[in-house]
Amino acid sequence: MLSCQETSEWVGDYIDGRVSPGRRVAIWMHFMICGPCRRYCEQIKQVSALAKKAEDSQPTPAPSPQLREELLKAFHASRAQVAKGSDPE
Amino acid sequence: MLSISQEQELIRRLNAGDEGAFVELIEAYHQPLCRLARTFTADAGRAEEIVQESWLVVIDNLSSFEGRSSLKTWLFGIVVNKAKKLAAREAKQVISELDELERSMRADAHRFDERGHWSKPPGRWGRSPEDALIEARTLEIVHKLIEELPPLQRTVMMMRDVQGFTAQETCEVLQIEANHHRVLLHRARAAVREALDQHFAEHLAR
Repeated sequence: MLSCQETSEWVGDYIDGRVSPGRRVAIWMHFMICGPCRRYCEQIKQVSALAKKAEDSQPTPAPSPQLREELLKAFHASRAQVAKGSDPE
Repeated sequence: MLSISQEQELIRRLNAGDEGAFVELIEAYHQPLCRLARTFTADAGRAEEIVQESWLVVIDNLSSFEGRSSLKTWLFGIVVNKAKKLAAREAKQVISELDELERSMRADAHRFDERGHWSKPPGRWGRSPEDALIEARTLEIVHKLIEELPPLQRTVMMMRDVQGFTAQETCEVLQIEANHHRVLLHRARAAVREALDQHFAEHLAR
């Protein structure tokens, strides 16, 4: 029989469907008799969703026009070199 | 981020020297890559430098990209390598995953007794009418908590929960074992859950 602590450590893989069939059954049976572990599992799912919301609400700057220009220059220079290298003449 | 068939088409155009394809690549990945880099350094400017340098590596290696991994895991892997090198150079945070695991205690260890049963079960978070108001504050707290996680836990949580990487892709990009990934993700989520539990307990008590 899994303990609550062991169950809590496997909930992530359980949610992902990344546990063996045997372990899946063991966790499921534990959930049947353990309200706190069911609640813990739900809260871990909420944490995962909240993490996404929290980080998605943080601004991330788009690439600046200068950076874009520099990278394009480097891209063309590199492509030109590749073309030259593969040119049979 | 792009689907596999979109990726393949993009690679074909990139190798043909299509400028538009390169712009699309930057548009699709620059911001996600910056967010990943930010999990390695608190300095946003540094994070962007890491990504800039990574783009140059990408440009130089485009023609040797063989599609053994997806374009996405290849790009993220390059940023992770750069970020690790930078961290090592600055000697601020040497990313040694095993040390990390040794060092970080389980956030919720005190909740279990010696037989592994709950001695302090998770609290009820409840849904109250002012939830919309609570939520903005909650998201602030969650963001702070994520920033305070040990580096590798933060990176794994960012990839899995925020950027939608699978467990397998995350292991591939970070070069870690599946078991290691499981422990890191669990510790990150457990630490955030633990802090939220305390926050909600205080909030609901008022």
